[in-house]
Amino acid sequence: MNPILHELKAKQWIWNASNSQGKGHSKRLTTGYEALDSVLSGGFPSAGMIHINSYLGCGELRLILSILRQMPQHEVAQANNKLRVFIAPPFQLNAEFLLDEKIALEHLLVIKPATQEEALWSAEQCAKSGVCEAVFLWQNQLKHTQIRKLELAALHGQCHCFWFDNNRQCMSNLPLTLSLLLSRENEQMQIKVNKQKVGWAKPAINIKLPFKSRTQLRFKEARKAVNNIVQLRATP
Amino acid sequence: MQFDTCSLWIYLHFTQLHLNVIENTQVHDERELAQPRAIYNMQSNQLVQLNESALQKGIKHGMGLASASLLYPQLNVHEYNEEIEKHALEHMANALYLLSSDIVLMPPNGLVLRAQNMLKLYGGLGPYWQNISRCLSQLGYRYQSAAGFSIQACKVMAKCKQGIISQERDVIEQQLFKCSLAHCDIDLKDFEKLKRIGISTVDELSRVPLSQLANRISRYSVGIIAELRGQAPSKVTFFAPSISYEDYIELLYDISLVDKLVPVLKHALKKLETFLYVRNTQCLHIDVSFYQREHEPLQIGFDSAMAIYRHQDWLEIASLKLEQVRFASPVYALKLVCEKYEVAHASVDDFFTHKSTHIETMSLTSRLASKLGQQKITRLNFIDDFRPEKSTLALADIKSKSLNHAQSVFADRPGFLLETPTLLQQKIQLIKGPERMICGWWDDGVVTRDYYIGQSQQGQQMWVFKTPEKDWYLHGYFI
Repeated sequence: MNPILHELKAKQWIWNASNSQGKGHSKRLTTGYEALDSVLSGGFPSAGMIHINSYLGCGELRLILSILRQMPQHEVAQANNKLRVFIAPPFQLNAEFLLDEKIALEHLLVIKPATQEEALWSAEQCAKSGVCEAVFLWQNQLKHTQIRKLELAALHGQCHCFWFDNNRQCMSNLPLTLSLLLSRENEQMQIKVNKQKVGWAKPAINIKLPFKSRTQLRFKEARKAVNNIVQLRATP
Repeated sequence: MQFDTCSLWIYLHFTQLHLNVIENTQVHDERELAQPRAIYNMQSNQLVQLNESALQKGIKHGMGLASASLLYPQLNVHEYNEEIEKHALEHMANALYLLSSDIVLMPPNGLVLRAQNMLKLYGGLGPYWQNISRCLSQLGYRYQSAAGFSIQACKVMAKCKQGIISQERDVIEQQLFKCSLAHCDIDLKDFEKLKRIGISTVDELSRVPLSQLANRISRYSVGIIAELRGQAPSKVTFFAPSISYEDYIELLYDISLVDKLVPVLKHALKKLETFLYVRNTQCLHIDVSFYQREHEPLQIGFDSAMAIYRHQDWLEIASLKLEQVRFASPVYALKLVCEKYEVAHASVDDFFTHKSTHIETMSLTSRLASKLGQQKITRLNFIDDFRPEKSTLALADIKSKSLNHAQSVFADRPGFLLETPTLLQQKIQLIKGPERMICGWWDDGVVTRDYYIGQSQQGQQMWVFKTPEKDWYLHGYFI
């Protein structure tokens, strides 16, 4: 073998199509969006580090939470009271939003580390503990080795480690399981697969991710209540 | 307390207690163990305890420091500390208490067991002594033992190395008669007086009636002799185990690096583990004090989210927390205190139920809390309030269980909220709204706002509001 190729392989920087079978990555879980499933060769990987590159606030977490809810793993995780850990969120998380997304607050942990080192350490601990369903990490710059460490931890603990980042100059050779670039145009969410294990980078696709309008629903419920009134008639 | 004179007692005389304590706690490899080592009593200027290799070098008990260092200059010398021996005795009594009920501490280096009332339980002296000696060998202290029908008698036999473990009165008496009175508790003055009239062993003493001695020696010594002959009961107080756990370890040399302290701490935690294990208890909090050479002792508390007892678990938490600790000056001793412990409840769940994840979750949170600090790990609680600033509450206490399960929440609420709304700086397109919020008139936080959902050029969806003064503020992001 070419010595350079051999070296690259030893560092696990290249992926061989021949060993795609029988590995942890091969198991795919449907996302609930057909278009997304088709570009992701069947769905999300069952575990690993997933990179989400987007501007803050274009619906990235809502997309992921809706995908997680679709997964068969989700029910198992709920039954086992698995944790969802939010590490270094840039702003205060809103409990009302999380409840609306059907996340039980007792299975939620928010970690506000002082340094990047602490953030990565806690992400790794949570990911490999095996008691977390998902770890959400907000960090801007991660190094190759740091990502590799988290990826291994996530595979070991069978959990999804989501890394949110709004740095547009993304390196393509990072050891991630999946890397997505998200952008929004009105009701449509554009998803571009930058990198995925077992598969090629794919052109962008659009999926619809509107707001749910429960505000109206509340209003409707209130109107229903009006019908409950029983008219009492005075008998002469 | 007074006891009859026909109880069987066993006296344990620990000849090199201080030396054994040092060897057990701080010497970790064989090579170090084989080095000549001695305990030196400053007051009497004598070497009081010596290990085997020190004896081989020709150093003898009772030698001064000068002559010992002439014989072997590299001798490891430790200053004798009675407190350490007392602690070791208490530790031993705690261990033996599980096997034998009545224990008397004879500081600094003696321990008496009342065997009589244990014989029925164990079915004879043989099995009883077997259990006791197994426990003692596990503790690793060198001792001389003797059985007798009075505490004085077995004490003398143990100190004279004449002790045997038996309950035959004749055999014990024969052994006792061989002993010299020098090891007896009687006054040194009275001992001299008895020597002058030709009494120096127990045998010779037994031929003289007590009434003849009474006018020669002090009352105290007469009492001792009466005890020795089994004519008077001895007055002793029995050991009662303390409620809280406390352990003090003096280090062999000063340590300033935290990494070097971890093995010592591990040893202390192992002792705590056995203490908790035999009582079927666990604990949530331990305190470790580090005695610094030139500064005040540094006390660090270690917390666990769930009650644990295993030393591996405690060590994991402790070593994470110690990573952030810097000592002002080298540490010469440490003390481990566990004041409260609770009875471990037998778990009836099988291996595959969710209980195991619960334990894992708890150990994960305690690990995170000990490394990062308790205040950096929070949980969220929802409070039914219309104002978004007040609806989310961060709970610092990760153990708290009372999380609110809200039944009705509004949709279209952003995932991220800014701590304080900031003036809107960029151009956005409004895509939904308005939603008017007028509340808080019942307390000080009056809020009058029209909320809109807006979208920026880059597709960021934001929660913005307009005040009655027509100022636009950014309050959150729809992540």
